[in-house]
Amino acid sequence: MLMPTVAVSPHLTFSDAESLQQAFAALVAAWRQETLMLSSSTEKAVHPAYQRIIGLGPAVVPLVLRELEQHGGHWFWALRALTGENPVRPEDAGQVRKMTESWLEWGRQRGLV
Amino acid sequence: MPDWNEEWTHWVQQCFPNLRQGGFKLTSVESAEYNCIAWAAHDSIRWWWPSIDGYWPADLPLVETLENFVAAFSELGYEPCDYAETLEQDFEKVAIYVRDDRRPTHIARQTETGAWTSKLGEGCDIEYDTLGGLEGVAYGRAVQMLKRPR
Repeated sequence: MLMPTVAVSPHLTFSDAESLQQAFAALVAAWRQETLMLSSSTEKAVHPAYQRIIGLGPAVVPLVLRELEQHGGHWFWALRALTGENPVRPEDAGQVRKMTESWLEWGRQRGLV
Repeated sequence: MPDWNEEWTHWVQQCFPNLRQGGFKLTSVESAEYNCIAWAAHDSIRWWWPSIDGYWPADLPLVETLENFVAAFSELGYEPCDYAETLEQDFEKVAIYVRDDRRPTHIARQTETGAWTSKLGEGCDIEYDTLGGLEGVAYGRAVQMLKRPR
């Protein structure tokens, strides 16, 4: 019996959602460990692990939102890249708590959180 | 299981090996809500960075240059000054770190005692004796000092 696959990009597929979650968790751990000391939003976002998370494609959006909700962090670049949207008001830029809440509300409205 | 203090002390020493000799003390818990630039500017509720996701003075461009960081702190009353870590009682100093490509990575602020205080990315705040303590792979070196009257 063939297992259903979760397509996450033109090049990557995972045999099931659990595999996607494991890949995501490993990338998050690497990213947090290697960028925790950085202040540069740009350096955090261009880190290879962060870029690979974006490369996982739209299927990873619920995981990113859950990570944001449970552990915080600078996921805003990734969410913009993955969704093509930005619910954060320009005047809230830099206010991480408000930016987080804007994205979580965006996710709730779409049943992703 | 290591306690909070032990874990973060180990993390700081791993990221900034020079601090193993110079010593430092942890002065806050970790936070992703503000960074070193904000902390240097006495702001602990915003993440300062010249990018779409960061706070940056509205009249300045979103470019990561030393000149742009100097301009941001000029708006707070700071002016470039000679590079000297010595305490001047009537002035508050900040120091900008850059890597070899001259892109800013970090800003430290001098306290009233002459020690330096830094927020380490999303980590904790620390206090330490000399700017060399944070120099190395992560932040490069401190190259530009600014000061303003206290």
